[in-house]
Amino acid sequence: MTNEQKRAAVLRSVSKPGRYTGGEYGQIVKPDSEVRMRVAFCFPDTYEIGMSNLGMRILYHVLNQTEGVACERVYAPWLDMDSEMQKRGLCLLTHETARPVGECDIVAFTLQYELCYTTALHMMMLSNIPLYAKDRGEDAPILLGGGPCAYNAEPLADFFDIFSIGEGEEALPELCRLYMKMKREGTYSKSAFLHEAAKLKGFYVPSLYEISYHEDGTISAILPKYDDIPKKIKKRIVEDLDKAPFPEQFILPYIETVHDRSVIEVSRGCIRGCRFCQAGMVYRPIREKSPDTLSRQAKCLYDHSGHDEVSMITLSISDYSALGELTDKLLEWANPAHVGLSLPSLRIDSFGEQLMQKVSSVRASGITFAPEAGTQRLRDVINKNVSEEDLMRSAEIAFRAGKGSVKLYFMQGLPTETEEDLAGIADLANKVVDVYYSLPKSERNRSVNVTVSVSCFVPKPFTAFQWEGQDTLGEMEKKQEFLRSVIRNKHVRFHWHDARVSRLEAIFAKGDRRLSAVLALAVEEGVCFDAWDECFDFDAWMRRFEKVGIDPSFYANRQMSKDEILPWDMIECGVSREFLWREREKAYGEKTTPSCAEQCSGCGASECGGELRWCPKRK
Amino acid sequence: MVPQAQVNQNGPAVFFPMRFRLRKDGLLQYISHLDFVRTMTKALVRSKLPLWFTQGFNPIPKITFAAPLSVGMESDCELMDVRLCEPTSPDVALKALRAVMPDAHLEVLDAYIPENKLSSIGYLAYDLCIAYDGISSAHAEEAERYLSSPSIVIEKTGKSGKPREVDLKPMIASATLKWDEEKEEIVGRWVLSASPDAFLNPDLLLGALRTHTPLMQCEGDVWYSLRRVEIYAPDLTVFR
Ligand code: SF4
Repeated sequence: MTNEQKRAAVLRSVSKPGRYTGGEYGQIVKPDSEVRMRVAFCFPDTYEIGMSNLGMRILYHVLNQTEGVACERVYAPWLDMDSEMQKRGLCLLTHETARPVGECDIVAFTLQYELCYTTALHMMMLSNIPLYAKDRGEDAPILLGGGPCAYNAEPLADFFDIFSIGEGEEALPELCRLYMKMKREGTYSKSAFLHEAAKLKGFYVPSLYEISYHEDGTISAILPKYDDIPKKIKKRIVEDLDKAPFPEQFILPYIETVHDRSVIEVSRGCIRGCRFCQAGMVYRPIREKSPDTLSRQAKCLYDHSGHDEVSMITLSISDYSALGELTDKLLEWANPAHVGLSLPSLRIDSFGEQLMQKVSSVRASGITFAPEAGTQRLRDVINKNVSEEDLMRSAEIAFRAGKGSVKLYFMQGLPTETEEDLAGIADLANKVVDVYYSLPKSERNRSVNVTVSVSCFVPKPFTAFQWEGQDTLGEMEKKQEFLRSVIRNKHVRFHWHDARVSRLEAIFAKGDRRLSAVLALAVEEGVCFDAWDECFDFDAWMRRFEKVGIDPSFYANRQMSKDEILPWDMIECGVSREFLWREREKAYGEKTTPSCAEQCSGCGASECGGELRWCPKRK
Repeated sequence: MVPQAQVNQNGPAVFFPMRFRLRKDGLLQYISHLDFVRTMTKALVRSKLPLWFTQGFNPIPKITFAAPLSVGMESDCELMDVRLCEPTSPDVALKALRAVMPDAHLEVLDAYIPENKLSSIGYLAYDLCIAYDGISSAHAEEAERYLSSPSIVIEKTGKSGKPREVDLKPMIASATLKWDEEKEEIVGRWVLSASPDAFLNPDLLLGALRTHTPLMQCEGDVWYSLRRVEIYAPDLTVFR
């Protein structure tokens, strides 16, 4: 039987075979004669999740627009497909042309969350690519990593050749052009290429940096191996979002995916400075697209898709400076075409009556608020500038508009948290229910239900809390127990996250390259899809840490000192370390920092350049 | 030909029916019927054909498909009925839809004004092709003998969960299985009932053959292809 017939037999036996077929509307297949190099762009999770990722959609488009480059997509096969493939010795193929991933020139992974690391490595294994970079010869592809986790990808440092730091729209084509140039001129060897690439702005080649350690396990030095590569790698940004490349059409999956709709990116960066939020820091400086550009891009996506919904992506939609103009422009063509608009979750303090009307005239994605903490004191600590009054007023507007269910997001385990703060969570939820009952029957929905969703705080690099340790697993679980005991309102549903998942996230988020040993062991044991309940096995992870002699609490629970060299210190994300430490001190002083709209607090991100709507002029 | 307007029973709005015939094969045979419907709905929206939307709170275009195709089956004759709100020539409709199709394995073959209701389909013709380790001409002969026996009774679990016996034979208009010496494959052409009250899925017949004859019995993978090739009216003339 041919490999093709074998694959056909497999496709008949697996769940949702539609995720493996390729051939979707909008995919790009270049004729061989136009292709000088191939990039396999891998999303280390299922097809359904990967297909909804906007970053990958943009970069797929950008790379395929680059002369000589063919970019093809790859997703992780689900468990049933995976085992059938392994049983028959079938390797992982690209979506577009069913080419073995291992035969591509560059294999790129977008790293969206820490728990996808094993899936990424598993995909390398399925592609017959040796795991460790040092074991890969000249014929093996270059392994490239990017996405939010690249800001501290040290746990993957031994496996990947190079990381793209920051926004990739300009950086990735540059890297590809360097690759093609060196191949053409005959100067290419893997080491020569990586050395040259390390000189490009925004690229980190981990093998070219030597890390040494103190006896207590902390880092004593991070040194580049050559004089001509930077000591610190500065992130890349796109200066003008209006001019940034954006796909005219999305690839339309055949099967149902997480978000089956057109998506426009309203802005990057966030003027709020929540002290736990990594995205809010690393995407700075704030840049916006104009309403004209956005409406044009949305219309174009609609024409090329037939989607009946347009969603607006941004960290904080209500901070967009021309929201009214944008929604009006969109509704102008969307209404007659039966296309709905959806907004991401709204901030409490700017959730006004007017916006509510627009949201209900379009299709609201549900009313969710994220106070994050139960008391004003703790909200000041994390710089979530939201008051109880704001929340109650917004809840009232929502209830008056006929909404019956409200979702509240909180975090437990934040620095300085006390039992009072946790009890405050239950309090707030009860008060929201009270707001509902304070309204006359005729002006409210028939029933009310408030969902309180509490996740565990995970300290992240490049935040004011990057030095913090996480609660121990025992503490986290005790707090959940406590919350369960104080949330006792029949209209309030309590939803909590698995603390063990958060703990593993913290370990890898703050990890260094010594963690590669435990990742390699996990992959050898066949681990992947850690982010999925059916695969997550915490005890097995703890056994692995023990086996390789690594104490996970060194990473997750240890309070780092002000002057300690952090594992991610070779990366510069724009926001300065001094600013972050200042913010940390203010947090412990329970002092807030104004948003960039009110006053610049000198975070340093304006040095990255960009269309500086919010930032003061650079000197 | 000038399309005839029809009046919608639910309201006064006038619409013009259009029928498309599609080919769905290659890897796209693994796209489920529901996903196929969604794909075609989006394609029709992109085509900018004057779609007739249902009246009411949540207007959707009115699109109807003939007998759903199972996952893992190819077809040269998927029929899709669409209501248009303006008279449109089949040629224009064909061109517009072709321009926005996703892949060569999903091809619009034809567009025409329907002559019969989709519910009056009589039979579907399938081509099949089977390969596996240990396949032989004897398997083909034995399977064909089984197909020509006076009755082919299988046990089917009904809606109530209780198994009941069904004779498939009356639902078979004709069925062959031949040995292809050169390719070492078994090939066949089956014409099976496809009327709404007696629809015979060829997978069911394959299952019966697998249970009662040596066909497809092997340790390793079985590879087979099933392809709908034609649609017939109850009198076995080509359905339009
Ligand atoms: S430089 Fe100032 S205005 Fe710009 S992002 Fe930083 S704090 Fe905000």
